[in-house]
Amino acid sequence: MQDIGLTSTTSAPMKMHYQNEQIVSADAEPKQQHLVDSKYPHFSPANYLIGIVLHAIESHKNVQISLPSQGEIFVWAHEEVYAANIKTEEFWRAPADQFQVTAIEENAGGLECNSMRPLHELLWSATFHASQGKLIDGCHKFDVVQFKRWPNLTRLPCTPNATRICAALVAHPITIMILRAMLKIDTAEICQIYSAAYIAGVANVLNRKKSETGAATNDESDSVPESSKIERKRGIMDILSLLRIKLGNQRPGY
Amino acid sequence: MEYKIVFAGPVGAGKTTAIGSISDIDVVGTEAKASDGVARLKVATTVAMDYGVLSLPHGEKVHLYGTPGQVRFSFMWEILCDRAIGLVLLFDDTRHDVLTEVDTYLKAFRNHIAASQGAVVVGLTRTEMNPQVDFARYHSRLADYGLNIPVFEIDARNRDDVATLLLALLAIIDPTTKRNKVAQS
Repeated sequence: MQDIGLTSTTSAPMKMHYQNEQIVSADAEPKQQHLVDSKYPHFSPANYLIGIVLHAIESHKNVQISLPSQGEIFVWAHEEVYAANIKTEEFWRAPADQFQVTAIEENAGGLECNSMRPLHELLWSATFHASQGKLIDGCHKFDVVQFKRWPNLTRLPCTPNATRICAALVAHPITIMILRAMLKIDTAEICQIYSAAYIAGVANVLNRKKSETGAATNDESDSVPESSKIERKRGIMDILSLLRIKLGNQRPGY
Repeated sequence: MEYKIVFAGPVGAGKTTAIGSISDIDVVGTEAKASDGVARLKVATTVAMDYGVLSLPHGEKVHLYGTPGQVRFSFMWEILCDRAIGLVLLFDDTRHDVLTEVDTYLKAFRNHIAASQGAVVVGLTRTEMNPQVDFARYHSRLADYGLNIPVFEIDARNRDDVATLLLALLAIIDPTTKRNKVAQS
């Protein structure tokens, strides 16, 4: 195999969880907890696994990407499939310069077909884990976004409100900031899903004028339902909320 | 109030199994020994309906109904869908005529789908036989019916898969995911 090699600089991977609009490290000292500030910082794909994968795709190379004792991924760029043997979560968030990248020779044996998955799933997963609540370079919090289709969420890493985010973004174009107000969820969670969808080709970014966005908001304020409809919707929302807790609490990977 | 979600799809798609994996009670089934062409697919098949329950705090319940898959029982499909908050369609991805089956069910449930404003999700089963599922053909066919809805791979035996599918259904129903509801929230 031929060593390809890539370099990058980034921070070491840490376990994260959402807390009041910010992502904090579960292991960090209190003074160092706030990793994401209110300015919604970005991250560069070049600093993570995702950059290596994108490079392989752009250069049409089949590569093996390994991280000692943590796992490996085989990317077949031509066939647009990949196979993974990942032992730890840290694999996804490791700095790019820690990976060993080697070309897969033409006559090398591959993994079984049954272990291969579509490459866009790798793009989603790698971006999702690298994001840690930040937006990927090229995306903006005022982007007007619409999802072309629902991602296959049963086979992708996602956040507790991923289904709600997808439902809203499939239904209509919307900005992250409005989406946050609609769903009343952390911006970091939306940024993570949006970044993954953007790289995986699920998200359409529509350039619209501010006035058009404002008009849509005005339309919204005009539509007041009858009181009986509100009551019924409250009932449904109560049930939905309880159901979501019941179903979501037992879903691993959140 | 009590609510209802209906699971539908062809024979052998995994409806009974999916309800069983998510229900808080043992599935109340109406399985009978299969005859005619169904016997080639499975030993027993649902002839009336399957029933399961998701019990929620404060005594509320969401009833889960599974329809019989054979088209000759289609007269029951709309009956079971009456006042359902959502519809889960399951299809066996390995079936060569799966898109025809998609057509059959979308047409059979078109009234319910329209009335519920598209509260329907699709689960594809047996995808372990071919992990590279051709989602585009499903999304394309659904688009022919004006639907852009979730199409997920699921293992009907896996509670997490079925739960995720139901969470997607709930998200579609959820009024807060509709932009014109911002002012009310």
